[in-house]
Amino acid sequence: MEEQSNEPGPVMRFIQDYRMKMLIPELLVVFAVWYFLPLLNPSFSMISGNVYENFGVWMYVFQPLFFLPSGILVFVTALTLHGIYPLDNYHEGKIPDLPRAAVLMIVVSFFLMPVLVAFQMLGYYMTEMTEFIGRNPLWERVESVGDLLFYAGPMFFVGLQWWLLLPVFFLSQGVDGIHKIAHGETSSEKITWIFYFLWPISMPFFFDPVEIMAMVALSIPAFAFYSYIRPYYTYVTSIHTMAFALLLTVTVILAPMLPLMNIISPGFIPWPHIPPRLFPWPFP
Amino acid sequence: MLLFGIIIQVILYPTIWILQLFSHEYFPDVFVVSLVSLVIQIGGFYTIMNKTKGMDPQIYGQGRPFQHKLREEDEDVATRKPTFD
Repeated sequence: MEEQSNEPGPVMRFIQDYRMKMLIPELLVVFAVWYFLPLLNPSFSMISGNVYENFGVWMYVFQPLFFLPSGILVFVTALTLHGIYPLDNYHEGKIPDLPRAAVLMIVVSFFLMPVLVAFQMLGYYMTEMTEFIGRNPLWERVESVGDLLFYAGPMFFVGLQWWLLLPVFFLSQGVDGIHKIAHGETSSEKITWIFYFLWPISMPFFFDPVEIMAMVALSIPAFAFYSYIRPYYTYVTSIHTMAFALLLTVTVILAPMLPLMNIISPGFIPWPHIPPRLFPWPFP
Repeated sequence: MLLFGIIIQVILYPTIWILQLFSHEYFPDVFVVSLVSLVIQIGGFYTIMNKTKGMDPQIYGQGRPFQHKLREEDEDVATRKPTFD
């Protein structure tokens, strides 16, 4: 019988070293950007239109290859920016040599969308601050904002949905916070819990009842998968389940007033921001 | 708490749908998503219960044991994430 080798082949090795599984959240953001493009301008689609065409001379800074569609470039950038993961391993001393291909990939992505990638790199270095400087509640909050810039960056710098910045700030603090607690990676659990609870508390300010319902329905099982695999996460899962079930209860009560932000400052949430359907609903 | 959270959702999603409390272009889609979500959560609840059958309830609350090593050659697991001092 042939001996089984534990050493992965070159393709598998590339997928592991460049952490291709992280493409799942990144591509979700890219698809969301594509979905938003026709709202920016009806002539835009994923394969046509430069979102920076009204930026004057700045459009060449945001996208030097101005003749290519932004939708495709943001997709390519999501792939090439994966060079950052081996670079991260190099910084942490897990691999001895500077990975050349990774640096080349980062340079290519920087050339394709300089401003987006500059802010994503800024976000990456913000996430590293807990390791370079010190792990305390301040740098942990900076780390969460760094995650926001890195993963949600295309939503702002390509999708141009700037109104999302504030809700996504609370979302990133909540998502990153509860993961820090679950993994025992926080220096102050109390402060991290406070920032986690700002997430459900802040959502009625920014979103429609249906949007909150979708967030509740998606975020609970997405996080609960940890505890289905390893039950010792159950206490965090149960707090998350309860917090978001209560959020839904509050949403039902407040439904006619949502989003609250439009009462405080009308027009904060741009209307309409609901993209047209890609596929028609199959039932009457 | 997990069970209560699920029960609240079991009550709320159909109520919202039957009374058509919300109106939104994507309301039907979100309702379907919420039902799928409920099925996953109830299945997941049974999974947790089966996996921890006969075990100390403490298992629910202990959190993940920290198992990272700072360097490959380290013998003991680290008590913190790597920091460059």
